[in-house]
Formats: sequence, C-alpha cells, structure tokens
Amino acid sequence: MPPRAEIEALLPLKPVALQILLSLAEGERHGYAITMDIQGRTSARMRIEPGNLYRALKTMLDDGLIEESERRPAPDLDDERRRYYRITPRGRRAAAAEIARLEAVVAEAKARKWIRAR
Amino acid sequence: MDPRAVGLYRRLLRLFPAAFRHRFGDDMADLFADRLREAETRGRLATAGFWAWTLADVSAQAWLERRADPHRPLSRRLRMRHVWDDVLAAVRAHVRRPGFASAAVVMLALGLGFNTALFAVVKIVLLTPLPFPNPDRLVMLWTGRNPDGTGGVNSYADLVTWRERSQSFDALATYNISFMTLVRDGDAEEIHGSVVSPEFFRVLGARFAYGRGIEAGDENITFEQGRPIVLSYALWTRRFNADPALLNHTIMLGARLRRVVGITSPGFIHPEPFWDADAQYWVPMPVTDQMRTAHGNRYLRVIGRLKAGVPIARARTEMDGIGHQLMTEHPDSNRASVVVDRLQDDLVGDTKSIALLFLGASSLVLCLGIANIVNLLLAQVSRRRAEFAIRSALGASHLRVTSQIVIESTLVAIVGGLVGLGLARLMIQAIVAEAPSNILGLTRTAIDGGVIAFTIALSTATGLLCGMLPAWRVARARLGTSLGGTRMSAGLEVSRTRTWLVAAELALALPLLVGTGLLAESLVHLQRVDLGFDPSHAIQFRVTVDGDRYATSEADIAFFDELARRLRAIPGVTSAGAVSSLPLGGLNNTGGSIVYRQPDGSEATLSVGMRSTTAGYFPSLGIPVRRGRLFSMAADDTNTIVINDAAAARMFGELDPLGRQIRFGQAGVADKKSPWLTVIGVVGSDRHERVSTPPNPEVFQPYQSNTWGTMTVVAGTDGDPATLAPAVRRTMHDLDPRLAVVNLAPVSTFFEGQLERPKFGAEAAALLAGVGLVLAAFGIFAVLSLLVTQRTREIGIRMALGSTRARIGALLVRESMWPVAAGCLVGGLGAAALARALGSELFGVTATDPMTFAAAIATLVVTAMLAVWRPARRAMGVNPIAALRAE
Repeated sequence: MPPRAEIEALLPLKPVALQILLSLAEGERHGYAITMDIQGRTSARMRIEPGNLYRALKTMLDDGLIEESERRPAPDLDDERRRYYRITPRGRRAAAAEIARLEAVVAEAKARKWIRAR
Repeated sequence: MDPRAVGLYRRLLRLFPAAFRHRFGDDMADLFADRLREAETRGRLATAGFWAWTLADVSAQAWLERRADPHRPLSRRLRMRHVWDDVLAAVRAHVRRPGFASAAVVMLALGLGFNTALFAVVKIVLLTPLPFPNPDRLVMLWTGRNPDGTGGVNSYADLVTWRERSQSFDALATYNISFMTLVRDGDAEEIHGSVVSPEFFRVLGARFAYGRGIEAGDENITFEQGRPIVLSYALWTRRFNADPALLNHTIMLGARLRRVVGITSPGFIHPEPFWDADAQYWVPMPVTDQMRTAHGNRYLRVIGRLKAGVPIARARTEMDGIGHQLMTEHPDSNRASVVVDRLQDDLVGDTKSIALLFLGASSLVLCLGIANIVNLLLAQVSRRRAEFAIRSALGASHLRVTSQIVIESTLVAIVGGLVGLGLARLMIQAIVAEAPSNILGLTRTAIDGGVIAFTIALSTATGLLCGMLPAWRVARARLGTSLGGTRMSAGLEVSRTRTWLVAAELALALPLLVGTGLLAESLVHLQRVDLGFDPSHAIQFRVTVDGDRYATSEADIAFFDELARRLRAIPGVTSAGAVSSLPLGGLNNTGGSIVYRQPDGSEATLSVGMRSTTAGYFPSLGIPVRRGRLFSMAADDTNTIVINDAAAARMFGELDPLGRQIRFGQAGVADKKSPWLTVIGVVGSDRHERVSTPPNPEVFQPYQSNTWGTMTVVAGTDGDPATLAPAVRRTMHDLDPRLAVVNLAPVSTFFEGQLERPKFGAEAAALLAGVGLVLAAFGIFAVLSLLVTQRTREIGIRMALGSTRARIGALLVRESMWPVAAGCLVGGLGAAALARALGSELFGVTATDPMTFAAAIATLVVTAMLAVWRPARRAMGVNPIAALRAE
C-alpha cells in the first residue's frame, strides 16, 4: 500500500488523467476505446487527440497509475495489434483521492453559496 | 481514407523524441487512423478541422514532451549559464588581445555609426508621416515638369477647369507665397505667409486653437471691414503674447487692417516651407475675372485631397486626360499636361533617392569593416587552433567551440554599435548644422528609440555575420588533429579565402571612390559656372513698400529713387538699384508670355521671366550691356523694354533686336492694356533659378512702368560687401524706419546657398570614401603580410634554389595583383550602377566619366601596392636557412 503522502503528491490530477482512470476503472481498454469512452461520457466536451492521450498515458505509466495489460478481453473484441491498459491499485487510490479533493472543493463552493446546493 | 495520411502523420510524429515515438508511435498512428476515418464520415469541413487539431496536438505535445525529456543534454538554465560563461570568456579573450578588440571596435563603430546616422535621416524624412489627417490622400497638382523634376506652377483658369471636370478629389485648393510687413511696437518685421483659396484648410484637415480658417466669401470682405487673416500658432505666441483676446480684433499689416479670425493649432504646418521657414499667416485669395480666363497666367500651387478609396493612379489618368483636353482647347497657353504627385513625395523630393544612396554607401563601409573583422578572425582561428583543440579534447562540444567565436565577434560588434551610436550623434549634429535647410524635417533628425533598436539589431546581425565564416572553418576542421602542433602551411586554405577577401574589399571600395570623384567634379563645375553676374561684389535686401506713405506709384518710384541716391552716397558703394526678382534669390513668381513678330511678319509667343527693374540694378550686379542702352531717368522710357541675350536669340536669332517691338500677352489675342514696347537694350543672360540650369529668356521693364510693392534692393560694392551691412541698414532706417529690411546679406550667400547641397553631398561622400579606403588598405595589408609570413618556407626554398630578391618581390606583387584586378572589375560594375543612380546630382560630368573611373582605380591599385610593399620587402629579406628551419 503506498503511503498516503505519495498519493497526495500526485494531486491534483490532470483532467485527462482523471478521465482515463475513470474509463479504465470499468475495464481494460486500448487507446481508441479510451478516447471514445471519454468523448461519450463528457458529451464530446473533452476532445483527446493521440498526442495528448499518449503523453498522458506515458506519464501515468511512469507514475504507476496504470499498467499495460497482458490479458486480453473476449476474443471477438480483441484487436491483436493494440496495447491494452488497466488501472493499478495505486491508480484507483489516486482517482479516489482526486475525486475526494474535487468534492471538498464543491462542498466549499456550496458553503459559500457560489453554487446552488441540490 | 487516403493511406498517405497515416504516412504523413508518422512523419509528423518525428517531432516527438525518438524514445517516445518508438514506444507509442504505432498506437498513435492507429488511433489517428481511426479518428480520421470517423472525421471523414462527417464531411470535408470536419476532416479539415480534424487535420488542424491534429497538427496543433502533435506540435504542442511534442514540444511539451521534449521539454520534459530528462535525457536531453542540458537544461535551459544550464545552457544560459554556458552562454554567460562564454560571454565572460569572450571578454577575457578580448582583454588578452586588446589590439584586435580595439581595431575591430573602431572599424565596426565607423560603419555602424554611418548607418545609424543615415537610418535616422531616412526614418525622419521618409518614414515619418506628414502631420495631416490621412496624409496619403493629399496630392499636389502641377502643370508639366521643370527640367529639375519639380512640378510647374498652375493658372487659376486651369484650376477652374480641373474642378469642373475631375471626379477624383474631395476638393482642390490653391495657394501662393505671400509676405507682409508687421509693424508692432516700432519694430518692422517681414512675415511670410500664404494667400489661400477657401478650400485650403478643409483639404488639409486643419484644426484651430481658436476661431476658424479662411472660408468662402472672405476674399470679398474689404480692408475697411477688416479682411480676415488666420495666424499661425507660432506667430501668435511670438508677437502677440498668445493673447486669446486677439481673436476677432483687427491688426495692422502694412497699411491695411486685417481681422484675426483664427489661430491654427500648434501642430499645424503649411504643406510647403517657404524660404526655409514655415508660413506664419494665411489670407484669402482675391479672384479677378482675368484670373478666371487667363490660362497662361501661371504662378499658383494646387493641392488636393483624393476622395476616399480613389487610388492616385486613377487621379493621374483622369487629370492627364483633362490636361490634354486643355492643350487642345488652348494650344497657345497650355503646352503641358497635368502632373499629380503625392504631397509626401514632393516635400521629400529627390532627398529620398539621395538618402537611400548614402545609406547604401554607408552599408558598403560597414561591409568593408565586416570583411576586415572576418579576416582578422580567420587569422586568429589559425593561431588559436591549439586552444580550440584543447577545449574540444576536454569535452567541449563542437557547438560550444564555434559559439565561442560567434559570441566573441558579437560582443565586439555590440560594443562597436554603442560607440557607433556616439559617432552617429556627432554625425547627425553635423548633418543638421550643415545640410540644406529646405529639406522637410531634416532638422528634426534625432536618435530615438527606433534608431537605437535599429543599431542594436544591426550590430548583433553584424557580429553574427562576422563570426559565422571563422566558426564554420573551425567546425569543419578536425580539431583533434591539431593537437600535435601548428604547422605553418596548415593555414593555406584559410589564406585562399582571405585572398578573395582582398578582392571583395576592393570591389566594395571602388564604388565609394567613383561616387565621390563624380560628386567632387560636379561641385567644381558648379563653382566655376558662369552665372552671368558677379555675386561677390554686391549686397542685397528685400523691402516691401506699403503703408500710407506709399499709396501711389509716384511715391514708390520716389522712394526707390531716393534710396538708390542715398546708398550710392555710402563710401564703398559703386551703384545701387532694385529688381522684382533677384537671380538665385528663390523668388521667381514673375513669369509670363510675350508676343513678338517673326521675320515673315506673323506673331509668335515666348514664355519669359518678367522683371521690373531700376536702371541701377544691372551695374550693381555686374550684368553687362551687350547692345543699346539701359533705362534712364532723363529719357521717356514708358514704352521701352530691355531683354537678355537668351530672349534676343530665341526671338530674333541673328537679327538686330534693337528697335523691334514686343508686347505682353498671347499671339493672336488682342489686348488693349498691353501696348507694343520697343527693345532699347540687350543685357547678358543670368542663371536665375538654379546654378545648374541654363539661363532662360528674360525681359526687364523700367520700374516706372511697373511698380512692384516688394523689391530686392542691390548695391554694388568695390570691396567686401558684408562690411557695408550696418551702413545700408542705417540708410534704410533714416529713410523710413517703418519698413522692414529683410534678409540683408551679400548676394554671394544665395550662390553659396545653392552650392550647399552639392558641397554637403561631396563632403559626406568623401568622408565615406576616405574611411572606406583606409579600411580596404588595412584589410589588404593584413592579408598580404600574413600571406607572406605563411610562405616564408616557400620563399626560403626558392631563394635556396637561386631565385633573386627582386624576383621574389616581383612574384609576390604579381600574385597579389590578381585579387586586385578581380576586385577592380567587380567594383567597376558596382561603381557604374551607383554612378547612374547619382544621375541628377551630377553636373558637367557624365556618369561614365572615364577619367574619374581611371583615377579611382589608380588610387586603389596604388593603395594595394603600398599595402603589399612592406610584406614584400620583408619577404625579400628572408634568410633561406632560417626560413627552412622555421617549421
């Protein structure tokens, strides 16, 4: 279990990184699937071009938030050529920490009545 | 999907660091292909947008990735530290070799100084817009062109037609020179201004500090009612203490009342400086019926504002058409079409081409400086091979070794640029003090932020340029091999480059010399021109007789009569007279046409200069009487006229002009007001307008028949005319203290004034050429002496094999003359181009004058010979044994 401070040091995560983690939380995916998923969830508000995506992936790999997967999903969904990525426990913790951080920000904003509490 | 798209994308991916590309490149290309396919289903626009996004993504991310790459050699900060270290090292290197550094600084400071000064001039004269709204829409309209390229003045009748028929202009205004005497607090002063049509201030978009401009109807207000006048802000502050209460009050000018209706805003200037000064007032132009119909009565300037969006070319075509219509309708008076110039171009005149030529010449001097520095640096590179090799062996990258050289040269250049700025300040002071004063804005030339930025940029570029070739040499040389020692003959290739530098320097210097030679020769010709009168023994001043005492012609005549009598009484004055327009005096507003009878009896018209003179004028200026007699008070000279040589030759050829009759006006047009006049005398012709233009036909009327308000009084002297100035002024004051004595000065000042510009040009060129020649000589000497040093061994062998000293000397001279010959050839072509560009500045000498070219080439060859002499003599004294041991 990585120490809490180590996770804290990664925060705040870049929006792209958080979106990738959220996407991978549902299962292993390759680059194209990640972008399609993110675009779908954010109603295309977040566009991810290859350069941006792979640079983010590289940083996340270096930081140990994700890893390349040797396992393949169901054969009919498989695409031989592509690398699949999956989230690491460290990645889950970082995503949770980031979401908690964002929640704190939202709570603060609500307390100050910047946004309406629902 | 086009398969080439993925190929292109892969190529783009090279922007990323190799490691990143190897790891993710394939995946990225796949992803790209998927996305592209998807985009293509959404149409062309989406595809184009996708490509734009992709380009932005790749370049931005690649840049970010590279910046974050921990494996790249140096961080930014570390690299900056290296540069700083190199700068310090360069300073230390220069301190160690103060000779090179100071020589380089001086050579570059000269070139950069010249360029800075001339850039400052060009900037103010050519790049600063005129102080009017939308100045690019302001144009001057002229009738034909004078031989010197300036526009010809216009008639009011023509202007009326132009206004009726043209479509291109918002408005056309006309104006003319005016001057009046302002008497205030017992002090008479002549002030200069302009008579303007009501459109004048509107055309210029003038603003007023108080009141208004001249408007339509102003010219019909009588003097008793107070005819309107607009004062310049400068006059209002200077003579009326900036008193706002002056507005709508009347002031006395001459003998006439004028009502002040407006004061211009401080920034407003007249579009043309008269007599080196800005206009101080503006008054309405009265229009007579005669002005509306006399197409040949030309003395007006016309300024117009183009309608918004109308290009000047369209106005030109239109006005040329109207001009040709007028030429058909009035063949007697209209011989030339209409010319449309931009106001800016007219004001700048040929200053533009001259300023650019000199900027070109000073860049040649800068190039000579650069060539010398390159030369010195190349010599240093050969000498410092070991140093560079050691640094390289200790792990310095190629880039650092070469960048050191470039940093050193840039440092020198920037210091040179700073010194050059100081030099430029001195030069600009000289230009402002010496340069002809009638060039717009020249006196405002100064070193400002823009000029400093230019100098810094030019210095930096110069420094980089200087360092480039030597740095490239070092980079190409295998430094590692140089550690073993420095063989003398190793620099042979460097030497060859430097030999061609000699040729380049000569090619740069030759145009400078030729240009100077041509300008100097023109100046000598101008100084020796026969003006047709003697300017050295006469003093002159201008006077305007107005005021209640001079209400009649008789009073005017009596005044000039009495003045001449009193002037002649001054010891040292031999004669005295008056003329309406003094030769070279800058006042040539008295032209017109006369009618004469040709041998076959038919009438013909001739354009002439018309002067009103008293009899004493001709002897006072030393103008000879060729035939007949001058006017005299004794005879009745009411219907007589004196003409000059040029007029006699044009009208009557070889026939005797005496007793023949001429009249003012147009052939075939009867005019009862212009009676036939009898020619009673012929005088020598003088150059009236410019020293460089041949005399024009002129006719002289006796003052009694044509009294002018403003006359130039001339007194001939037997000694230095300048010493008589106080006596002349006293005489005038005694006669009438209320009349202003204007521009009291020897007549020679006008002649000298006209030579100001060619003199200044020749001097400036001589300075540039002198500096250029010294730089070239320095360069040639440096190259050749090093060449000889490097060939010491070869010379030793030759001598050991029995060659004589004389032969060695001859060999060296012969070999060094090859680049000299090549340089002269290329330089000669450059010089020919420059001489052609000088064109209108030349007088009495052709642009291809063989003597000038020969002299310039001879100067260079002799300089080269002198430069080669010392090294050659040293070579001849070489001891063969010592030479062979030298390696």
